[in-house]
Amino acid sequence: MGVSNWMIASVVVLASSSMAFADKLDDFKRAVGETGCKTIPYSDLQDNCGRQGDPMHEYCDAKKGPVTCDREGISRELTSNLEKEKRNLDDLKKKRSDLDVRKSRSSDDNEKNKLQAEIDQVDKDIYAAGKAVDAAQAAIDKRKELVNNSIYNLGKCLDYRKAVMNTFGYAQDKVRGENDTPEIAELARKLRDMYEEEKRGHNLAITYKENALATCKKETL
Amino acid sequence: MQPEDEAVLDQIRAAFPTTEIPADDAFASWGRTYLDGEEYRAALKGKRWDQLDAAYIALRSDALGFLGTGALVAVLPAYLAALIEHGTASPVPGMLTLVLAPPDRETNNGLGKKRFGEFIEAMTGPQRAAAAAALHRFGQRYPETLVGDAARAAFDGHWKVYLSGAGA
Repeated sequence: MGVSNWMIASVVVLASSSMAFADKLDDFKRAVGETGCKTIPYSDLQDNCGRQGDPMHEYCDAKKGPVTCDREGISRELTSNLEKEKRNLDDLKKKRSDLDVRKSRSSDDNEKNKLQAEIDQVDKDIYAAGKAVDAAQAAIDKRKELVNNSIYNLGKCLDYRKAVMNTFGYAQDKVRGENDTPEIAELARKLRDMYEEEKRGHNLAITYKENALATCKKETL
Repeated sequence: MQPEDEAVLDQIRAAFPTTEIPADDAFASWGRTYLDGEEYRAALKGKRWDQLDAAYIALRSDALGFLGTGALVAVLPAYLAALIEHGTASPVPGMLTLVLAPPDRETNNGLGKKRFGEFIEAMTGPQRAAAAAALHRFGQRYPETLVGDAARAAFDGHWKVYLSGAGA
C-alpha cells in the first residue's frame, strides 16, 4: 500500500470512529436525561429491559391472576371450620340414629309421634349441616386455588423483577468500562452511580414480593 | 371500623397538610430507573394526598422504594390510611413496613441509613407520631402475621419514641 492510500485509509477509519463516538455520546446524553429502561444507553439491554418489564407488570399487577393471599391464618381457620361443620353433621346423624332406636322401641303412640317430630327436625338440621359442610369445603377449595395461583404468579413476578434488576446490573457493568472520550466517560460515571444508588429500590421491590410469596407458602393447603 | 382505627385516621389527617404533592421531581433522586415512575408521577400531579387514587397507589406500593424524600413524606399519609382502612387485604402493608423499618447497622436494610435519616428529618413531630400510631395499631390488629411482625419490629425499633410526642 502506498503512502497516499495508507493516509486515505487512516482518515476513513478516524472519520468512522468519530462518527461512532458521536452516536455513542448521543445515546449516553439521552440516557442521562431519561427514565425507566431508557436510562440504559445500549439498545440491546434497553430492549431486554422492556421485554422483561412487560411480563413483570402482567404478573406483579395481578393481570394474570392473584398475587396476594391476604393474611396468614385464613387457611387454618377454614380448615378448622370444616372440621367443626363435619363434627356437627356427625353429631346430628348420631342423634337421628338414637331417635330411630327410641322410636322403634316405643309402644306409646304419643311418644312415637313426639319422636317422629324430633326426627323430622333433625333431618332438616342434617340437611342444613350437610350444606354447611359443602360450603366449608368449597371455601377451602377456593382458598387452595387462590394460594396455588398466587404462589405461581408471585414466582413469575419475582423472576421478571429480578431480570429487570439484572439488566440494570449488566448496564452498570458495561458503563464502567466506557472511556472513549472524556465526555462519554463522565456520562458513564453518572449512569453507573445512578444504577448503584437505585439498586436499593429494586431490592426493596423484590423483598416485598418475596415476603408476599412466603405468606402464601405458609397458607398452602 | 373500630374507634381505635378512626382515632389513628384522625391523627393522620391532622398531621399531614392537604396541599398539592410536589410531583415533578418525585423520582429525581432515587427512582430514575423505576419502570413506573412517569405513570406514578402523573398520578400524583396536581393532587393532594387525600385525592390520590387509592387503588392505583396501592398497586404501585413499590414506588415507595424509589421516591425522593419530599415526595415520600407527601404520599405517606395515603399509605398510612390504607394500612388502617384495608389492613392485610391491601398490598400496602408489605411495602410500607419495609420502608418504615429502621436500617440496622449490619445490613443497612430498608431505605438505608442516609435516606431513612433524611426521611425522618423531613417529617414534623405530629407526622412522626401519626406514622408511629398507624404502625402500632396495625401491629396490634394483625398478630402472628409476617406484616404484623414487621410493623411491630419497626415500631419497637424506631417509631415508638414518637408515639407520646417525646421524640417529636
